[in-house]
Amino acid sequence: MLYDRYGRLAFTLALRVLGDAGAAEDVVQEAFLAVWRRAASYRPERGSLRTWVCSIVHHRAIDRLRGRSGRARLDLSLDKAPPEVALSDTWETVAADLEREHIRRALAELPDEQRRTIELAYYAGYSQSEISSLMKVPLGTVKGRTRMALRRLRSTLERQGVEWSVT
Amino acid sequence: MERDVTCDDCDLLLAAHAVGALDLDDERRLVVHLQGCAGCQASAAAYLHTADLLPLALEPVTPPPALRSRLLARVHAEVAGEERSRPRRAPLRERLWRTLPAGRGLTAMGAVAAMAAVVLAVWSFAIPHRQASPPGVLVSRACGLTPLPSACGELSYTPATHQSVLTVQGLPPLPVANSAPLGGYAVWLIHRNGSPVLGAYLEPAPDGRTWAAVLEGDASSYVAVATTHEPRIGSAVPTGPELLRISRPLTPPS
Repeated sequence: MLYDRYGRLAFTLALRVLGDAGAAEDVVQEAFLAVWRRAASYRPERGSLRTWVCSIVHHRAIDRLRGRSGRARLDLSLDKAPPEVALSDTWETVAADLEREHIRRALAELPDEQRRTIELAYYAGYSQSEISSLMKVPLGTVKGRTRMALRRLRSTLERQGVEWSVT
Repeated sequence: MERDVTCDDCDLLLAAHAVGALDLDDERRLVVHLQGCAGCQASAAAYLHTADLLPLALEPVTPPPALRSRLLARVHAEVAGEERSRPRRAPLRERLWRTLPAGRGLTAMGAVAAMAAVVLAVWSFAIPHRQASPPGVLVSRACGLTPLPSACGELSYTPATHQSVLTVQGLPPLPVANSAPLGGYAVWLIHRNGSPVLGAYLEPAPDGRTWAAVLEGDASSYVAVATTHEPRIGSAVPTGPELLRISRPLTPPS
């Protein structure tokens, strides 16, 4: 079942965000229940299952980290995904085949401030305004670093031979 | 007055959204722009997929096995509760079987079907009028022992998935201490030598009357399951009186 395939990744992500195994278990359980309840809304052409699951886990973990009970979030990867975006499952396969070290290496190639920016956002749940305060840089700088980090990460992985399936 | 979001603005917002750092006001602006911009819609997917690589760089941590059992038990409890609240609805069993994928490829609906294959085993127990169990599911039933004769349960085993599902009715609500349930109903796997091994904890359905647990592993490794109330979660041995014992199913249901 889906949990057998992505449960470990989901738990790893939730644990990294929350830092507490019990809380991570709660988030993973609720996330997979959400997947189960919303399965009918999943559209393979709009994104991989891995992306779908990771998005739900990440959103719920961040919500819990911020003490939110789940405010409405922009959820582009799920049932509100843009209808014109067509993604094949190739990415899922590619991602599964990627060596962890390749991704780590790509992250390590990022300038420290860029890597730190996306880590503060993705794992610590800080908004860009909060990151701006934390890093004592203008908000525009945070936005630019975030975009550049993701672009460079993608570019580096492409150089490693990753074929992107976004068409 | 707030100016319109340009595609370059949107690109910045999409990157922030992909890592979960978008401020609320920016979310609203982003949504408005995306509704009319196909180019930025495509960019949104690209950023999301890049961000979703981040957890793959983490050292994997395996979740506790009990998490899987709890998840499946919750699924069952929800299914059972849903059906109880809508007794005249078309049988979910039929709807679930219709969702089974023709191929072996994993899809979300396939995942639902995989879960459904488990909960189907207990489905007939949760509805007022029992129906035949799905093919390939072995079932045994029993009612409670002296301490709690009102409790009745059903143990369903699906050899193809090596999963057993125990459903029990007639259990009283858990005692409450400091506004929280005290302990839980433990399910013990009774091995041939009589030794009990903790298998799972029963989870209540929303109606509070049906309890369920999913047991992993080959059913041939144990001869029966027993239920006790354990005041302390995590006890390695039974401490409460045995409330119910059901032998492992051996023959297909008639």
